[in-house]
Amino acid sequence: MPDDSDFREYVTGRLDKLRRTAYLLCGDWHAADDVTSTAIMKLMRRWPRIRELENIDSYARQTLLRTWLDERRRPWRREWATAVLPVRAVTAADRVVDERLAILGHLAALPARRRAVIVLRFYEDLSVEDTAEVLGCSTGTVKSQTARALDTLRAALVPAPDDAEEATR
Amino acid sequence: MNLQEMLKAAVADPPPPDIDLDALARRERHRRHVVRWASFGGGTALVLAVAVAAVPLLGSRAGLPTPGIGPELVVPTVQSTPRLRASETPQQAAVAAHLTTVLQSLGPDLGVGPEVSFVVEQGEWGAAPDGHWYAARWNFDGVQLAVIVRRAMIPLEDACAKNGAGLSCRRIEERDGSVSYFAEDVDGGTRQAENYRPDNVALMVTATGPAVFNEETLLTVTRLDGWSLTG
Repeated sequence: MPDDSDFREYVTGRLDKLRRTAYLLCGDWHAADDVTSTAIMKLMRRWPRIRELENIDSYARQTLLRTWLDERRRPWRREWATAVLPVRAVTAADRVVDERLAILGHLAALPARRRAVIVLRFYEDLSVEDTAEVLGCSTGTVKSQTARALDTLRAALVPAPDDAEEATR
Repeated sequence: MNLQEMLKAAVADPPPPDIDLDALARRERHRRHVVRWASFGGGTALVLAVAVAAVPLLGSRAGLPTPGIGPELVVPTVQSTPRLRASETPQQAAVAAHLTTVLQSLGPDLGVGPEVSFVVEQGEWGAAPDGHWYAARWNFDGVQLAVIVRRAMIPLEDACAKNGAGLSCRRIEERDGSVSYFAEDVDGGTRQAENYRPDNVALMVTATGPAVFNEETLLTVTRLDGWSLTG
């Protein structure tokens, strides 16, 4: 690696965002760090070509996502969908913490591609077209996967009535 | 709280990262070092093998009897002489000549004229650990074709990930232990077939332009038995 200063600068600036996205996909910070590290290694190897791209962020996001999908395919990394966390009445003070745990549980219960669609559309705030590009599928697939994932989440989450409509935005 | 807010809240307080960029850079340097030395070792073995084979050949040319050495050790002749560059070694020229022979055998099916030949190219290119590869380029029916032969290991990971957005790609595990990839630009402008072999020879055939050649044709070219880097 003759000069990796621009690579370091790029990764340092995006590390936090990549980790958070990986966490939503993995549901575990240790696994998220593993996936992020592997994705960074891949980016490092291809940096001489990647640095010329117009949208490096899109490439990095795609690399992270595919790394996660690849990791899940390995036999020792296969995960089982967790049972949906029980929803119970909570006090206002507990509510944010419980919602945080609940959403991770519900995300983990989604099939991988649907989970990815939700994270890309609602956390990364990508358009349907951009999400399709990252996932390498059609926009129609993204829309249908989003709709099914939201149906599952809607059934699992018990939000206040006014939140229900917002969540399906 | 809507879904976006829930997702943002879920990642609001991340623990300190367990990612050491220095360690990752060291690992990558180490990996490159190992690959470089592995290819150097392979190259040295190749040169020695050529040297051992060349000694009796030179001896016979000098009028010395060399029982048991047949014409198969002679560097293959080709219909068209490959373009030699000052930087090419005799061994590289021999490999280019051999590859050109294989390419010429494809003939009219791929519009390979007698002027098409392989040349040695060199530079920094991803997984080409020995720093050079062999390329032949030509045009046929408005299609730009390129065949590249290089030394590369079979990717352990799904190398489809290397392709950016806008490409469809699939990996094919072949019966002979090799691994093929076929990638296609979603616009249909470029189609590329690759075959990575257990002997660390990788073939890449790229067709840019009208869809004259389909996936099967391009993959068939990459799977030809004759491709090798031993001249």
